[in-house]
Amino acid sequence: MSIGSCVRHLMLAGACVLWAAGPAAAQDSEAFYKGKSIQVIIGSSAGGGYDTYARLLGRYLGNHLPGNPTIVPQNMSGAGSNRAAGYIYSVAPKDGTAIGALFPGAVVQTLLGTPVQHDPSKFNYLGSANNDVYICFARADTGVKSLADAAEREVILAASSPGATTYDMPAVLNTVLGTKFKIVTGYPGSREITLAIERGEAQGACGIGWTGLVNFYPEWFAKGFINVIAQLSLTGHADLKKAGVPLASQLAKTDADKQVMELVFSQGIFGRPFVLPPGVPPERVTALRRAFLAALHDKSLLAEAEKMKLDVEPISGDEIQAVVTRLYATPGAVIERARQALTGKPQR
Amino acid sequence: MEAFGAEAAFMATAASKAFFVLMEPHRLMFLALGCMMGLILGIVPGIGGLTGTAMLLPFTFAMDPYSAFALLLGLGSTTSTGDPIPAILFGVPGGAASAATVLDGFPMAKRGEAGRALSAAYMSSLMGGIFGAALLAISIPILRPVMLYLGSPELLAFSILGISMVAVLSGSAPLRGVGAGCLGVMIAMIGSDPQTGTLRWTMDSLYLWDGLPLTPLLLGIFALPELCDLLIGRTTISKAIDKKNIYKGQWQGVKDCFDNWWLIVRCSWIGGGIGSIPGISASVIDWLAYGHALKTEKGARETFGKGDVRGVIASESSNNAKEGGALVPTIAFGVPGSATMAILLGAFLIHGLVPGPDMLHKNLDVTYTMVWSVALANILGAGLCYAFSPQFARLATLRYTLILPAVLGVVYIGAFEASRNWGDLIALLGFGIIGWLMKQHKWPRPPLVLGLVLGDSIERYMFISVERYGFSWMLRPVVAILLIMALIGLLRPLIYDIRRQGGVVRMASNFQAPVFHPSQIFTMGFIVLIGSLLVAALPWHFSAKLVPIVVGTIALTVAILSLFNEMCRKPAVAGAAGLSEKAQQEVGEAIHMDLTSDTGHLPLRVIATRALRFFAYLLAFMGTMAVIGLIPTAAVFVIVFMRLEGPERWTLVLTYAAVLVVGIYIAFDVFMSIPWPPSLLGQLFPALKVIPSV
Repeated sequence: MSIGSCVRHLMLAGACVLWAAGPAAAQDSEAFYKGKSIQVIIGSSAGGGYDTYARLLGRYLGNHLPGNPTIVPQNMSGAGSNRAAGYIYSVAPKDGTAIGALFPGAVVQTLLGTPVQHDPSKFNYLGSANNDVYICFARADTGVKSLADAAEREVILAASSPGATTYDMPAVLNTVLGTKFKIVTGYPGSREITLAIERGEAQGACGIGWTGLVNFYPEWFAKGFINVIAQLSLTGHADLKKAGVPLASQLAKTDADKQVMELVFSQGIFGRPFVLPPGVPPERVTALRRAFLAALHDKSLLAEAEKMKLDVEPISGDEIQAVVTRLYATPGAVIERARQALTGKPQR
Repeated sequence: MEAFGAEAAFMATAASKAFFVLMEPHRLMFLALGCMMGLILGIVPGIGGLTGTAMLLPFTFAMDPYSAFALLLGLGSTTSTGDPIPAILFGVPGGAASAATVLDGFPMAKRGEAGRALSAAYMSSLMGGIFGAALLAISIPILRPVMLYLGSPELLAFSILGISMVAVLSGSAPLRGVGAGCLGVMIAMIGSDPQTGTLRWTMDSLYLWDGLPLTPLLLGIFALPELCDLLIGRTTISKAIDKKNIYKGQWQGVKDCFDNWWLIVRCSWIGGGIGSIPGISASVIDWLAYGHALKTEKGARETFGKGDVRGVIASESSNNAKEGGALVPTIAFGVPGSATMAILLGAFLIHGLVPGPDMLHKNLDVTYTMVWSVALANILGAGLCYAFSPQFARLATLRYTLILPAVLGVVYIGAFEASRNWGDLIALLGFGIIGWLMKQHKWPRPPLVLGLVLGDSIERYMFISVERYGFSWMLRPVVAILLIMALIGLLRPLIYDIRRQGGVVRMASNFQAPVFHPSQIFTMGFIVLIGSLLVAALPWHFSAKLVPIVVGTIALTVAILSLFNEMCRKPAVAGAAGLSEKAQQEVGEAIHMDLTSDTGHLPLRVIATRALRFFAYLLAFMGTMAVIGLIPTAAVFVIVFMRLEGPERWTLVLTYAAVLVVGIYIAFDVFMSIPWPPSLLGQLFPALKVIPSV
């Protein structure tokens, strides 16, 4: 038997199992979810982007689950959504009635930031509502058009704080590619950052999502106010690729450098991650993952998202689970280098 | 000139078009609905318009943009109209921006002038809200250039000017005021720092990562001490007042506002101006306006803090103007001026409006509908308040056994709403004790709040300014003017104080050998607290510890000076018994810039045992909550408290408990769906989880 036919057999067997498990899982879930409610613990305060996504999903998820449970969104902000992550990990019921909506930073917290009590690699990932491509850009009047230019000249970047993409991503570029970004921290969020750039207090930023920027500041692009100098992503965005904006990781000189960048940039893949506690019965995880994708493909949800200018590009739970597993299997030396780039301090 | 005329005509057209659009009956209805909800949310302490707006947002998707903004702004603008009601009646600020109202409003209620204070609060809210909206309306053409001009150095200078108010708000106790202000700044530093990510004073708890939330702290510092003193005094808040007096008081309150219209204009512009600066929390607006009134109003130094209606007017007119101000950066740049505005931004997008230049030209009529909505909401809100006011005013005449259970229960849940964590309750209790001790020992509390709210933005903008501009940031013209104003504000009270005491030489000669008194234990405790915070800060990264160490050292210095002063200054009069009388002596005859305890007539022993009893109730509340959950605890608490303290009749107790619990259940479990912390009972017997919050 050739390897190819073996794989085909296995796939067939897998399909059979899925086919058999599908209705059974649905029946179990239907009986379980009927008349129940699912709490969605949102790891940010009311009104922010993550909150908006979670509430949007909450309005549709119930319709796509067998038994049509009620979805109750609840805000639990704090510690960069590590509080909500800890709650989902150890306090929330493990029967599929609690979902966490977290910042991507909380998923890589243990790898790159201060260690926390819970282990993000053990969550059951439900999926992500979008996959953002983070970019680096500079005001056109600086004359900086590429990362190579930024290695020649100092560019003042506005950033939030260590742990946020606006700090972590340029910090890694400075270490790995030798760019001369001067990162000024202290701006509360991306809106304050863009305002600082508009008034000339800062000259650019690294680690801001492309879709949000282009939706909010169309005139910046129309008038050529800024130059997009790099994509901080593993795959890149179709529009930006067409415009010829390079991926920063392609400029890495060694494989190790590339891995460091990919480790930090990988947060973009799970832009809006939704998680379940460890220990939720597998058939319910399957049902929830299926409903998650179905809800995010729901026409009315998409119409609502379109109006709110929210970018919906669902990534399946299996995919994210695989990415997270791979991230947590990154060689220690690479993690160490990334940590040093971010904090200048070795792992405790 | 012609261009100006055309511009003005264009604005007038847009404004009148917007007015008629808003006058459509169904839009007015949405506006009124928003106002009603805003008032209710405002009256309940600890719950602002934020949660309400977040929940209303999805319902506005199907509306036209004008109706949507009418509903959302109606809610947002009136929360601060409802805020002064509990502040005046019970000394419990209904929201962060009405803490300053307590200072004069509560003493007025105690004097039996609740009706007048409430009426002045509504009327000044109304006028302040309208002046704020008017300021916004006429400044629309210059919004963007002005906002683009104000960089981080200017924001820093504004914050410094704000904190220089500590000097005024410290009253006759400048050393203690500066000490309290520094402590506030240090509390603001708790959490992950924005420069290096160092976790400052978080005591290894996730709760403190983002810093202490403001609500439990404010409720602890301002609400609990009043409630504690109510229990200690065992009286009603105010003497009985008859109906005729209430109406007379109401009329007087309205007249007060018209007599002080110029003060209202000034304070509302302060409110609107500060409200339009993103990053400076709205919670200091009332204090800045209060401080301004204190500095500029005739005779204010003698009467403020003792029930002067102008104190209420200053605070309330400023905080209602802030919503109009907060619209500025939201409309012009998409930078939300307040948390409520962040949600409003969501509404913008769903209706296809992009904040920015378009809102000031192409969509100017939408912008003007917002201005009109804010103005009308203020009128409607105040009107509704007037309608119910006589009933409210009589609440202050109820026995303490009737008031305390409900108010305490709501304060607890209001604090818990801040971040829905046990930490909120611990912070509430801890700051309740600190606040009560500060009140008893005549440490002014307002500077602490000022430091707390502004400390964070001062550190943030100072690092940005220095990193970006070096030290040349101070040479920017607006910055220089603001800094000079701050310096004058700081020095004037100092010079005044020295003169009053007969010059430096006389002050220095007025000392004796140290004498110990138990009241100094508080100052000593303060020194130990600051000292240990400083020691904990030593190993941090340089830029993480710079501000905490500098501020901590100042705090330590003034506290030691203050202790020296307490021990070695010759007393003016000898032989006083009560804690607060002793303290009053120490600060001299000048005005004490805070509420004074009216428990002075009781012996120290009684005060101490009753205070212990009060805080024991709070501890028991938390203990019971850990076992059986918050909502059942509220019922148990009401029953135990009313039976032990009263005892009230069983029928009354049970009805009271039932009404309160059902109210809490509907508001917090059904409407706001708070994730309750797990209780012991629920963990042992999961079947019992059907009971809410178990």
